[in-house]
Amino acid sequence: MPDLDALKHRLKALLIERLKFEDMTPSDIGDDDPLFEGGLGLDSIDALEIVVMLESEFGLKIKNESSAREHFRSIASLAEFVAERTAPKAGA
Amino acid sequence: MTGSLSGLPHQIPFRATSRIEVVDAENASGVFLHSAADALTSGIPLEVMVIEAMAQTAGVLAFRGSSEPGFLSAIDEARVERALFGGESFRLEVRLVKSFGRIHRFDGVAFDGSVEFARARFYLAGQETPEPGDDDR
Repeated sequence: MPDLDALKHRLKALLIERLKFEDMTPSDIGDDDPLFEGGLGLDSIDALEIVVMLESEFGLKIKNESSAREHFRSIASLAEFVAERTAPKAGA
Repeated sequence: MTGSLSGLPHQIPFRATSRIEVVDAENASGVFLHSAADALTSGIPLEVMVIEAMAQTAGVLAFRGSSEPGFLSAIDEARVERALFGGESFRLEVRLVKSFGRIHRFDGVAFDGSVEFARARFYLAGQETPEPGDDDR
């Protein structure tokens, strides 16, 4: 299992870069802050960019919009999702 | 394979692209032709119309086979290399980068011969909710 705190920091930095948040640093985003409604206020275009980012940075393909909604709830849930999907398989 | 210009919600005088060819499920090409009359009537910077033509080319690819027309949701990172001159034509190439839910992202480039004239990123949104895809596991 990768270091979750380091992964959260990396995800925050990637979001800031990919979504072009000006004058924002990773420390401005709370681990449990909602990414969409009532939080950072991301929209469906931002969700697509997160999908592109997960594919290019972590090799993860996201096809199912309904399950992505749950994974994309916050940085914490996104980090758990990435950690689980990139962890080496047992016995592999 | 030729795309259908008649499927676009824009027709003359609002249709900016003159020809569209769907290459495959992820790529389409088009042509933007400028006439001297355009400069007198549009009032819109002509370079913007090349960007619009790429978006329309992407729209034909994104919504072919759909019963409802989609719409251009956003343009990002648009860049035009120089001013457009009367009578010029440009080859347009658009590529579907990713679809997620109803949103489709395209990257487009307009070429003057082999030289890049303009590029932009487009987001198009469909009105129909797609069938659920495979589980992402």
